[in-house]
Amino acid sequence: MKQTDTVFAVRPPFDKADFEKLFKLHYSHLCAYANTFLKDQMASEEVVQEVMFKIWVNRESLEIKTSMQSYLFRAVRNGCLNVLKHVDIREEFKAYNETLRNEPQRSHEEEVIISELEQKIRQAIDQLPMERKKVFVLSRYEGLSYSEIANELGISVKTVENQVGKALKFLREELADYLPWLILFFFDIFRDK
Amino acid sequence: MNHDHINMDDSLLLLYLTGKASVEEQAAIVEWLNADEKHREHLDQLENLWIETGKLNPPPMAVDTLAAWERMSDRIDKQSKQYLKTYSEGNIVRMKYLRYAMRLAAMLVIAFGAIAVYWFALRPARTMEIVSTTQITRDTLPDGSQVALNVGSRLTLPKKFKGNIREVTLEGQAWFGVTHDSTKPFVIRAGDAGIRVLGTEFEVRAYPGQDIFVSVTKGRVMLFHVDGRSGDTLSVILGAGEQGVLPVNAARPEMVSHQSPDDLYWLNNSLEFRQTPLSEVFDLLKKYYKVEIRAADQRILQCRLSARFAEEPVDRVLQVIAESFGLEVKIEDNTYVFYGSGC
Repeated sequence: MKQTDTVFAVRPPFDKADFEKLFKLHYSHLCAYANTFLKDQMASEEVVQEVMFKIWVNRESLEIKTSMQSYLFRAVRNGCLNVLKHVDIREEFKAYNETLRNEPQRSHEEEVIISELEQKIRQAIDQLPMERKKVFVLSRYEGLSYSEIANELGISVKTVENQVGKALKFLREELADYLPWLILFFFDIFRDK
Repeated sequence: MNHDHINMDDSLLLLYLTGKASVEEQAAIVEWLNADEKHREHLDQLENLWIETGKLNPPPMAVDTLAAWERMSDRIDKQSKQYLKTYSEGNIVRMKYLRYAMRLAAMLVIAFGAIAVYWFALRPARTMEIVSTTQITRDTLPDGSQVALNVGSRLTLPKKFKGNIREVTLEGQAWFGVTHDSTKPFVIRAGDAGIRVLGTEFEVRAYPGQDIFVSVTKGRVMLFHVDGRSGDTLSVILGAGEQGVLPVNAARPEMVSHQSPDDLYWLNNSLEFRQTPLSEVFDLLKKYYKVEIRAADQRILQCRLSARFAEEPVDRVLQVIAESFGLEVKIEDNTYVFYGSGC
């Protein structure tokens, strides 16, 4: 699977412009990842902020043996476990945390592999304007109906429809280069039937 | 370009794909599909998009990346200023440049002086203050959030919340009912502590030089402390019924196991105790009724009280406490003294 060059291009020591690229590229994905531990958007965003800030502060002395991506995900996971320790859901994760700490420093840490397609889709979603992004996420990932979304966000059903339509249109166009080969693939399936 | 191809709405097609379109809508879409080969492609593309987005694990969240970067950028700038300051303190300025430096400094002083005069004296104020001196003040903030300020407290805030954050500064004690807005966090600066919420109800006690307390009645609240030098933030997340504290001079906020009953007394004029030791109950009553209370036997102080008093006179409150534990209360030298042998 091909990796996007940008992921590897940015490595410490980097300047603020590079750091901005790195931040904007990974922020939403890292938040989503943190949320699998914390189940709380605000806390997840906070952990990612902290991890990124520490990386910036220590950018001169960071030793990263894996890809930047793997490093970020690992740091966010550790940050989340740290927060969980604070909020006292500790028990559940205590054993897990201990194995982590006792883990010998391996030179080859596990690489996080994210396909180019996945990265493109996530970036495209992240580029949606805020309200449209919320509407899309609620519709696609929380499985809410248009009227439920309208209720949740305090907007009209018509607006929700409108926003879903615009979000899908944007994503279709943004990902057009990545979706065609899939079309052929699905056509094949239909023909087999 | 086919006109219909452009006009068919993706949100309607999605309802069709997910089997939620009405019979009439289905009919219209089938007709549209049969009109042009390209329409079929359009639908396939949409279907693929829907399938591919569904594979994302973990599912994406609606975060405001640009706002988050703004915040990070601010922190970076502040931190590098801090770093430069500590760095230059140890630097020796060569004499050769000193004269120029001093001239420049003099000019800067004049320039900044002029700006400062404008800023503080001439410019119309963009911030406002809510101050409560003799009685509890209730007010509504520009974003619709509710606030109740205890006597002797002060809240400073902008006349209008701008940007990505609703930020206020508190000195003293206040209860907040914050309106929900996940895109604009509400942040309270209180001494060394920061409290960050999206929308919830809680109380903050932040008197200068004292531990800072946050008690949550509803929702979730983050209590944090930012280290001025390193920029590190340590935080704790508090849920409903929980209380957090940032001790004086400490960098790490902590959760304390229970909410002390007096937290909202000033607001409701009612005292509620849940399994509270009498030692704490007495401390509280002393404070609010301005009376002296003493236990003749130390074991009495360990009795645990569960009760609720609403605007009752102190005699009545103490009598009820005494009766519920089979104790006796007498007045001696302007002090209420409890007699008995504990519980």
